Amino acid sequence: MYKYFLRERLRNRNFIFWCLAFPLALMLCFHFVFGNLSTSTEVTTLNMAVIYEGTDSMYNRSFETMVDGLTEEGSNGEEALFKLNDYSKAEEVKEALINNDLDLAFKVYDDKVEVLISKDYSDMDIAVGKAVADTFMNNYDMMATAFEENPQKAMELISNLGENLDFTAAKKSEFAEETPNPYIWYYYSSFVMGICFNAMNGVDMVANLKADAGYHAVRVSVSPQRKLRLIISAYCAYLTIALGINVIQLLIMKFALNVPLGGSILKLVAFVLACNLFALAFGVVCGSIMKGTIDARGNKITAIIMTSVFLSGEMVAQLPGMLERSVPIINDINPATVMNMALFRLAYSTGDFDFYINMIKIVLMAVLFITISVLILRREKYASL
Amino acid sequence: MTEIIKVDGLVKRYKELIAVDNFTMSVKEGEILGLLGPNGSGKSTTINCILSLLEYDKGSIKIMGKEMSPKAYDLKAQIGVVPQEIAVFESLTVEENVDFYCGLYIKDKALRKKYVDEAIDFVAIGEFRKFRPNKLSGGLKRRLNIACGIAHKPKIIIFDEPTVAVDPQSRNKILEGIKELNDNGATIIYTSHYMEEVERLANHIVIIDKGTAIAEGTVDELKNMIKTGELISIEVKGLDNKVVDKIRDLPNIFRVEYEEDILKVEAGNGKHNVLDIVNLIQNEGYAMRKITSEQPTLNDVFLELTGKALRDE
Ligand SMILES: Nc1ncnc2c1ncn2[C@@H]1O[C@H](COP(=O)(O)OP(=O)(O)OP(=O)(O)O)[C@@H](O)[C@H]1O
Ligand SMILES: [Mg+2]
Repeated sequence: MYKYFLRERLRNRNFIFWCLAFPLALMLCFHFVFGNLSTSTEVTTLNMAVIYEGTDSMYNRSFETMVDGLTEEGSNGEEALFKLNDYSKAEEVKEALINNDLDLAFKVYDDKVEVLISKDYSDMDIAVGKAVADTFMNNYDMMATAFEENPQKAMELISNLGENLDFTAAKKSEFAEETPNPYIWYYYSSFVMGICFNAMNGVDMVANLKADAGYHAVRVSVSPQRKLRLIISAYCAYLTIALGINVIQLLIMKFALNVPLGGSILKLVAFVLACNLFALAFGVVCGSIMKGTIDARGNKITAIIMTSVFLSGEMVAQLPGMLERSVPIINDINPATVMNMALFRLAYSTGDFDFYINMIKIVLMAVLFITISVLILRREKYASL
Repeated sequence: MTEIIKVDGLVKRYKELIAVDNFTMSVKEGEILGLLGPNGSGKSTTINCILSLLEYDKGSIKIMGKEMSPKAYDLKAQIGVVPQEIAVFESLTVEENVDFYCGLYIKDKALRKKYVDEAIDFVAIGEFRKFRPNKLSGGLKRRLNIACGIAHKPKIIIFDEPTVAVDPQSRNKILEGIKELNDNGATIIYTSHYMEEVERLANHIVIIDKGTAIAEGTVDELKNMIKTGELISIEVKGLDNKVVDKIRDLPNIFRVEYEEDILKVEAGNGKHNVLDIVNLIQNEGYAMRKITSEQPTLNDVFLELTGKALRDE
């Protein structure tokens, strides 16, 4: 059974197109329109000022040293992170921020550093500002101790602090209207879209296993096969192909399109597995609940997927960011967005927490839908055919 | 002959509509049972209940003496089903389709290969075995549909209107095939609304209307159930009304009609109905041209039992 389910899928042009070819075609389009990802810079130089409010000269001087490090051009010609602007008064700084002459400013007290942002701030500004301030504050104590022992070495340490900054970590909102590279988002959502189209396979599974939905299923149901075995065979076959397709896509993304995919293959596999299972089971559940011919159900599912994928930022990458501000719940429950986020988090690894929180959502949804789908498909007698 | 399927007092409701109403039927081992009824009479519904696909409201269904249920895998293994609709995978070839469905019953690969080949040969679609179903004509697809249902050599085969929308030639092939399966020992349930088919094929007929079995028996038994034994038609010019009345008064005659020089008479069972009428007309001095006498069809049986035609012709 497994063999034939597999073969039947492989020859299904519809499925191969939506799950394999269509997402790849979109990615290639993006590639030609936006250019190669590896050459695009992610961070531009920000206009910055510092206001010293505190009296602790040690604290102030340390911060100054660190900022100095960040205003220098990188040794391999990268642009500097900051351009330091001289303002003598706090009011002037505020003015400049309101006029957007400055992108951000730091207010240094005796024991903390505050970030001030401009009127038309971008999430990038917040990200960078918070990262700088946090890194400084987190490391200052260690630094101060080091000072007493070896001032020279400590100074060096401080000025190098900036090099290890991780900006994505500090981003306030996951859905920046200007993500570090919005184009990345398009690749991820194209990939996720391919996975989501597995829901259409779920509908076909309904036609093959649910006797009141198709004559194939009638035949299968009158045979002396245990329903659960058939369900497992079908899931395995459909999953095998989906994974095969994803491997092809990921290889192309990684090696031809230079899309960052993070360092952990294990996590990537877990991610892809969970997403595909969810999409399949989602298709089964929706396909079972819906009325009409199998083709009509397939079309409805396609519409649902398209909507979900569109809301997740395929076509308009800013959409999730806008939703996050107006109706964040949509982002939280839209499967395509959650999958995109997980993949994004996986690639821009910022500590495992962000990745896992999205993964957990996906796994929970997958488990829920698989359970429902099995309960539905296991049924052997129907009230009406 | 032992009873192989027993349907007893089956009731199936769809909300208001009663699709099957206290239906009782028994199938004997080795026979071809024709389940004859017009569209919507409940044939498919009955079949689906027998197969344990449909929940039903009342009644019991026993196969080989055992209660049929979805988990009666031993029974299911003995049954082959050819559904009313064509159910094959478009993306698998003819051979793969048969192999897939056969594989649901037969695990042994070598045996299955043999069975698949035999089934394909049986419905004579060997030259198309590598074709996809969408390349086959309607009749060939029907035959593939049959091959998928019978490849595992089941003891009981259920055909649900296998000849719908099939040209007469293909239909003949299919009917011959079913006969052959029966000769080889399979018990067959055959549903149709084509009475000629059922009349030709079945040795036991159940007529179903509005979900109820209204008559059953062999073809002859059914025909004997109704008054009409013979339909006589005589072409004769300018017959006087008095003569028509005389014919009406003959014994064993219960309906006489004379229109446009054609005399139509319905007679009961009797050996010399035609002779009696012909003699009478001759004695009155009329010349007759064409005389025909027909046996009643199952349609007449149905007509008389329900007051309506089995199907529009
Ligand atoms: N799922 C359903 N829901 C409601 N009514 C149904 C359903 N399936 C069948 N019916 C009704 O039950 C009756 C019997 O239908 P069934 O399909 O058994 O007829 P049939 O004898 O097989 O007819 P046909 O020759 O057209 O195949 C019909 O009146 C039909 O409209
Ligand atoms: Mg029917």
